[in-house]
Amino acid sequence: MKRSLGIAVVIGAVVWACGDPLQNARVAALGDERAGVSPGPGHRPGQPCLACHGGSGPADVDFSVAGTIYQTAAADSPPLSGATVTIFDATQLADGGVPHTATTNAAGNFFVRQEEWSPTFPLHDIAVSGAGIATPTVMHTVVGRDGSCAACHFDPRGRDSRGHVYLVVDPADLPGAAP
Amino acid sequence: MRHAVLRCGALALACVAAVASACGAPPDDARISVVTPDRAQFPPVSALLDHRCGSLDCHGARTRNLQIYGCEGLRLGDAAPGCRSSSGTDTSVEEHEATFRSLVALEPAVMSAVVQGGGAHPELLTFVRKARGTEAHKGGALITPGDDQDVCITSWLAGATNLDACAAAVAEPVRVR
Repeated sequence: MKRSLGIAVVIGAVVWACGDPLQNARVAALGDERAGVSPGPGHRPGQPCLACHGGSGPADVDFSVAGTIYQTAAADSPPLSGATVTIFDATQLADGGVPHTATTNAAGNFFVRQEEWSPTFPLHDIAVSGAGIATPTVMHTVVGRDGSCAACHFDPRGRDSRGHVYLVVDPADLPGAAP
Repeated sequence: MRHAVLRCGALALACVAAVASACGAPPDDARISVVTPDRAQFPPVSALLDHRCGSLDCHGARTRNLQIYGCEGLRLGDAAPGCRSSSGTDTSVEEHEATFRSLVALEPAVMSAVVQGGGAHPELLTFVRKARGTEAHKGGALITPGDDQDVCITSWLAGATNLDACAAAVAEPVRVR
């Protein structure tokens, strides 16, 4: 009896020691699913996808890059579906290189599965373009290590966030906007 | 037998003395000083560090030992996010200073030795080894000895920042080493 208890204590200690409390805290901080939205390609827009889909997270599918694109810079902006996201990794020059491309879904989410593309960081010259917009919006800062857009792009804007990713600053610049 | 007891007693006393000495508190006015490279020549180096190392997911994160401030990443105080070219404000004097303090305080004794040695051995500094990839670095090898980025940093450590190298380094495209 004592021996079994001892083994159980040792196993418990090992399991506890193997958990990553910071990772667990990151996942817990995301909260519950939004009411009426099931886990899938449209869930949790605006959240750091790789917290769960980044290898050490609890999700079954791993992403290398993922995020959510919004129409405008406004905090209450609707998501942007059908946007094209182009990403260069460190093996490709922006001038003449071939970027990886992804498209946002109805929730504004895009994701690149790890088995589809495993980029070499830093990522650079990431651009967002949408139908009817002549000039893509390009991010001039490099991404050093985290494939979640929302790791750095979250609301509200502040000293360590540029705010969410958007296509245009002003709603008047959207295609079809009233002049 | 008596000698053995005496030896044990002496050893025990020595141990107690050593422990007591090790546990003694440093004086209240004790300070670690550092001989730094020239502050005035740092902004071009700071701009390079902000551009290549200071993204918000790397050394622009508030949780890192080496924190880099600037318009491309972590802002100080209430500065608007982003550089002036993207509707923000450019890196301030205070942000250059904050990066300077963060960098020189990482390894004050080693920094002092490197500076007093005229910058002849920059590789003694961990941040140089990490940037060169000669020490484990999550961000990989970002610079190569002798390239513009390396010259920008090492010339500052040697006391005469190479402004041309710093400018070229910031403009250099990102590529794998």
